[in-house]
Amino acid sequence: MTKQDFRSRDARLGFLLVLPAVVLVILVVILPIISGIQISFTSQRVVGSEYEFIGLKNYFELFEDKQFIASLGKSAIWVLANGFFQTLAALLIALLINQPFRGQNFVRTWIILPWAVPAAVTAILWRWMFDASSGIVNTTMKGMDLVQKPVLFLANPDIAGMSLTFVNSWRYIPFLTIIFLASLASVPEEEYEAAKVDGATPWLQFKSITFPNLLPTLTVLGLVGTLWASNVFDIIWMMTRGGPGDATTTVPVLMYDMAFYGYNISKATAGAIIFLFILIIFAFVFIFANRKQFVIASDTFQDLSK
Amino acid sequence: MKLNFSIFSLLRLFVIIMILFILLAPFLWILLASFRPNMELVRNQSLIPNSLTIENYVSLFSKSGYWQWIINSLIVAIYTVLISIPLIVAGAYSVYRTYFWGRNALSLFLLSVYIFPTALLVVPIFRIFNDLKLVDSHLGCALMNTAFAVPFGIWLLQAFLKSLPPELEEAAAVDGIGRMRTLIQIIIPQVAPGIIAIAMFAFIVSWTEYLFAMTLLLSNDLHTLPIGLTGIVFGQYRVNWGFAAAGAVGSAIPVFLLFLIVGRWFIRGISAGAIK
Amino acid sequence: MASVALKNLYKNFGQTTVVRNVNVEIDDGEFLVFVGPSGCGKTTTLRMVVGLESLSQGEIHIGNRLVNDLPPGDRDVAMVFQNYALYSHMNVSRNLGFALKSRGLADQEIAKRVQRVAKMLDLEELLERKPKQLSGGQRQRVALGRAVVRNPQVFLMDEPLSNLDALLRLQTRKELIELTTELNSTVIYVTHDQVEAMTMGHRLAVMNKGEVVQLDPPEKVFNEPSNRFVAEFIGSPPMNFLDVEVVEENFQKILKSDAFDLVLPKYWDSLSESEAILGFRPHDAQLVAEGGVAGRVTVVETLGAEKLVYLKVGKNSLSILVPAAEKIRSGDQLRFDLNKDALHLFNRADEKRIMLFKQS
Repeated sequence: MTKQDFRSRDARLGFLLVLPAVVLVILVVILPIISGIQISFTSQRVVGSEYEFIGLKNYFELFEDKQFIASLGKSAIWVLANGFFQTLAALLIALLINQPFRGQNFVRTWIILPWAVPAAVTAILWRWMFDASSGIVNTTMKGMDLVQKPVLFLANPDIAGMSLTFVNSWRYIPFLTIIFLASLASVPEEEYEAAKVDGATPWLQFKSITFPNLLPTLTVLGLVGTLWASNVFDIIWMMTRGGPGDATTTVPVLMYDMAFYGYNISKATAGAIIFLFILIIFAFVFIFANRKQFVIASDTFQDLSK
Repeated sequence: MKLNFSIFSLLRLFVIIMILFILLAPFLWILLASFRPNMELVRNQSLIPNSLTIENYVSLFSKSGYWQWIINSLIVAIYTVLISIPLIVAGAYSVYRTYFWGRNALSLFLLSVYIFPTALLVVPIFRIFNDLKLVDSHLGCALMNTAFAVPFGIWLLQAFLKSLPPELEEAAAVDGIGRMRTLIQIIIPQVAPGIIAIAMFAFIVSWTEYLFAMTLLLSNDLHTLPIGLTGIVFGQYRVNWGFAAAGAVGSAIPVFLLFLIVGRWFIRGISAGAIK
Repeated sequence: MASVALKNLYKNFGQTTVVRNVNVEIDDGEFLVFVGPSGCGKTTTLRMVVGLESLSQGEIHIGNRLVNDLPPGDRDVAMVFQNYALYSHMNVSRNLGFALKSRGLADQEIAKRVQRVAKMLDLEELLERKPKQLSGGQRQRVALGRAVVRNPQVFLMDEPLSNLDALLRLQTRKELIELTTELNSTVIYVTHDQVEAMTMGHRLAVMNKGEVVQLDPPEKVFNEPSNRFVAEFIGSPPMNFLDVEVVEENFQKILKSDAFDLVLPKYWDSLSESEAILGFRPHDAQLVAEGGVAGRVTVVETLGAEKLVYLKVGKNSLSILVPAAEKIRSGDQLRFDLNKDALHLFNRADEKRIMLFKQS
């Protein structure tokens, strides 16, 4: 009548083992969010200054703030462009270099470099490459007579967003590619062999073997990658500071600027909470829609009734 | 047929080379630039340098806080790695190899870290860390980095952990070996390549981190490389590109060395050893 | 070594009961085999004995201890897994000694016991190797050695031979019998392979759908299967079955099928059923020139010394074993007699063996 079997006995140990990670997450995520909600209901303008409780005033102000609404739109575009483009490109590159070729190991190791260097290096690299007068991209294009006058990659409001998307993708695609490669490597070779024996076309092999095996990875990257993209701050901040004008001012950039250069911490935090709320809704919808992929717990213990 | 096939291969090779070029050429370009005088970089637009100089490196190494930043960055990264690994290994083992109610929800809860708009909530973080006396300390910075390395690190380790047969733990249990001992002496040695990979992941997360370092490290002599670098490069009215290039190279070199030594373990470590 | 008693064992996974009312007493030094098709509950039963699975109901005694609530490590049992579960980062010597070391035995004692087991299992040359550098048979021996070195009260083995190729399996089977006889071990062994079960077990516990349907020595299981399932599962090629009517003519019991009549020996006279399932094994038939049962050959399989001949007899498909020298092709008409002392009758309704007092 006892429930003391091998699996349930380690419940306590399992819980204890994951506890430190949970505590840390509570410390750096949950507490700041609670604290942030408190701040957002006040009139505090700089850290440590006097303030009073003003209820939802910051929120009402934000909903009428055209700049904030615009930044939400820019964030949405940014997330779509980065999240979608990066995942797709990374998947294609991973498929491309997954087939053996000479130098495969070299590519697999060094492709990751753009992700591994600080964003500051990325910013220096591309600001200089994109430079109007001495940047290599412009001088090359000019040398090949592709353009008459230099392209203002970061100073032209119509192009700056695309340039930043390119740079951010340049930075994250390698990492996503590596994750996909790892996932591809875990697809059992026999499945491909069986498919080849059955005469399946490459497309059918992809559809019926590769894709289903990649789906759990794709789903997690879809969620995490979208969240990562939505919170990108450093690259934008270092390359354009949200400019020219407001062309690349996504929510994180606007809020940071508002908090530390506009001296309105409480309003910026309120904006952050709104943004967070949107992301939470997105995450819940995403997880619910893909709930089968998120049952990641150990299936290894399921098959015991044999 | 044969001809078609080789055309396809050539095309594929060409695309791979293009991708590699886009991803890696900027590094070579910046390396070259770092040895050119700044004035030449601004005026001369040719690819081939007229003259080479090490003046950029001289000023980086001797006139900036480069060495201090490197040491600070290493301290934070090592803290991050040392704290992350036990948390990731224990968390991953818990989520993927033990059986308790709610472990699925817990693993999702951990991933919720990435919902957190980092740039937006630095203020409350600053307040909380201030109360905990973790402001202006490398440890505090490392704790932030750890919190952002752990959830994805746990996920990265899953392929490896899932590939181990459950009989390993069962055999140990029948032999009377305690669960902790099983984890430490049997499971951990088997996932060693995965641990190398997550260590690298945590290192890179910390090495590239900008925002928390900028917020939490107030004193100049605690600044990490990204903070110091952006300070001297973008802090000036006109960017000294030669000097900036040297700084970029100086920041990339440690990562380059890391990958030179253990880089090939990275994919291997997150794909259950499936790569030959 | 110790005896083991399983009393009233039940195991439910949610709504489904995978082990039902299992009662087995295993004597000290006995080799007991749980045998049955996959999904019959044999592995779950074994895992309950080890302690990897909790009991829904019932009691497990090892020696004179009730072990229901003991964790696996405290039951003093050793288990050999189907996939061996060797620790791949440790060499053979450390694999063998790890359990002892974690129990705090002195290094000297461990080394002594490892040496002894290595000698017993012919592993001496391999002590420094890692599992990856071993063949399948060698790994199996290491897994066995890891159990033996602990000197446990009971050995539990879950299909330990099924990952070996056919020839090696035969050889290892023999070695395993020798070893357990030498050690006078109490062994609980799980397999789906009825030949393995017959050759190794002192007794078989044949399981089907969670229940032990027969618990007897191999000969008895073979000669007197308790029901149609056991009769079909044990023995190769499998037994033939056909529906028959039982009539009485001239004070004799006669079986009538759609194609032939069969007069039963005297000792069946007290048979009361009017219908039954007749079972006979393919090797209990002999070809005859005339008389007997007539059938048309559909398929002939050459097995070496014998041929297995499939026949159409009336509406039934039956099979018989004949000497390989017989020239038989499909389409031929054949006649055969049945060994009347080797007939099995089963109840139509519950398929249980119809038992009569047999004079023999």
